[in-house]
Amino acid sequence: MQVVDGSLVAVVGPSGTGKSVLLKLITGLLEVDAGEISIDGYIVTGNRGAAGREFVAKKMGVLFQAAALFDSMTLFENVSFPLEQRQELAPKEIKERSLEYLWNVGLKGYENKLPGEISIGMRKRVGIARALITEPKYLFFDEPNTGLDPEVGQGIYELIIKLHKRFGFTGIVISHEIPEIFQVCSRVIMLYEGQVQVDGSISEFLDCDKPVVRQFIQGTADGPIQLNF
Amino acid sequence: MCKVKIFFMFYRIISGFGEQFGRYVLAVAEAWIFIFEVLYKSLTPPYRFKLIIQQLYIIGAQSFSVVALVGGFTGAVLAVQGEYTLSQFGATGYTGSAIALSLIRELGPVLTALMVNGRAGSAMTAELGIMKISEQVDALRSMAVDPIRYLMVPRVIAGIISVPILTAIFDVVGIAGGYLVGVESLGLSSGIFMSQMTSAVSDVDVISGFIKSIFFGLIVAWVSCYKGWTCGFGAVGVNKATTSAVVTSSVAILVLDYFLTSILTKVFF
Repeated sequence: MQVVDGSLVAVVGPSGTGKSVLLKLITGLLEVDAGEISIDGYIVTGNRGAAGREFVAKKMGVLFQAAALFDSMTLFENVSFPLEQRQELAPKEIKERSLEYLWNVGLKGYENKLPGEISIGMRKRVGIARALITEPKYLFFDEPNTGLDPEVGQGIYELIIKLHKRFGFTGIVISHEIPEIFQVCSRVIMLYEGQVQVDGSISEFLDCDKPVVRQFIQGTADGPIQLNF
Repeated sequence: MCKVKIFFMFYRIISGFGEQFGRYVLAVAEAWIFIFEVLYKSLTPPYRFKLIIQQLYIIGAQSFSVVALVGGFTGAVLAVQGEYTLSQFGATGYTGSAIALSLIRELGPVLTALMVNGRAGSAMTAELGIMKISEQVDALRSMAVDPIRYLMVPRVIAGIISVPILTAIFDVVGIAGGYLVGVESLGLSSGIFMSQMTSAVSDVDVISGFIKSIFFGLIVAWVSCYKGWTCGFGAVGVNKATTSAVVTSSVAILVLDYFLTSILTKVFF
């Protein structure tokens, strides 16, 4: 599986199929049992020491499923946190950039709020700003619409599109929402039981005649996909 | 047939016990590896002084009032009990020294550690557990921030520093409480109270209490952090981890107190 620079790719599949695990493997939060992951030619698997972690962190940003904001920090502190850890910018620059990114995601005036004081949709926006603030080349979105009302979820998709146009990052969006995800991504990879079932354009995905893919697209209970309930 | 059933019943009991024991040994080994990693990282840079000060405030300063309150009343109770018991032997003059020695050698370190454990240790476990299950720890890792250095090291250092200081406060307030009740309420002589106390308490008593409190601070922070670090999923996981942290730390403090007392008595007295 390869990802072209500057593209937005959707990784879809039923729940429990390994989408979030894939994200954690790439970002080094889990270690692979077999195989190899390389980022821009740098093999990250088996190279998870301080240098490997630094490399991955510089290249990648992650929006976690529930945003994973630090509860004890204000929204401003959450967004400025990655920059403060790197210690590459002066405090004034960190402040200016953090405010700019918070405002970019539509949260002007919320700087001093705590994550517990805002809605989940807002928390996801802050999570995006925090992931984006170091200007990573690759940005991962783990189910960006989980737990959101449809209109709020649509707002998040529109924000991803807007930010992608502006910053030009390579985005990997993990989702099980079809067809909503098609407005964001031009390429779709479907996973089932840890295997890639289809990897292609939206039309290739929709035209795929594999029973697993057909069942997933149609959203029916009958078929090879095992429903564990 | 009956023999086969009994055999399988015993087999199940023994294998269940073995499995449980194996899990316990593994958890203990993990906990030791965890604390060695924390201690190693606390001695090597980068040092996060700001976070240590933050934790000193949370573990230490915020525990001040409860420790002082408990210390004051413990001293007061010791005065009442001590005066009554010693009066049986006509030795009420020793009440001051009995209070001071009990507090400095034993009750100060133990009760302070138990108070800190109940107030700050449980909060530490719950906070770390929630951070783990809500992917905040993963978020730190994704930013190349080592969660052991960022979350655990400051808490363990703050625990080791806070508990001895709080113990000293407990001892002082406890002695003051004992003095107030003994002298002002029970009518003991102020001069005798103070002179007996100062002549009975030596540097060694203070040092042994101090050494104990350092170990107790380490125990509280270690167990609380480890239980939060290995917390299970959901609210039930956090609940179990917090309960287990408080119980394990409390038992560990009392058990360690016996061994430390035995060792320090042989070394110093």
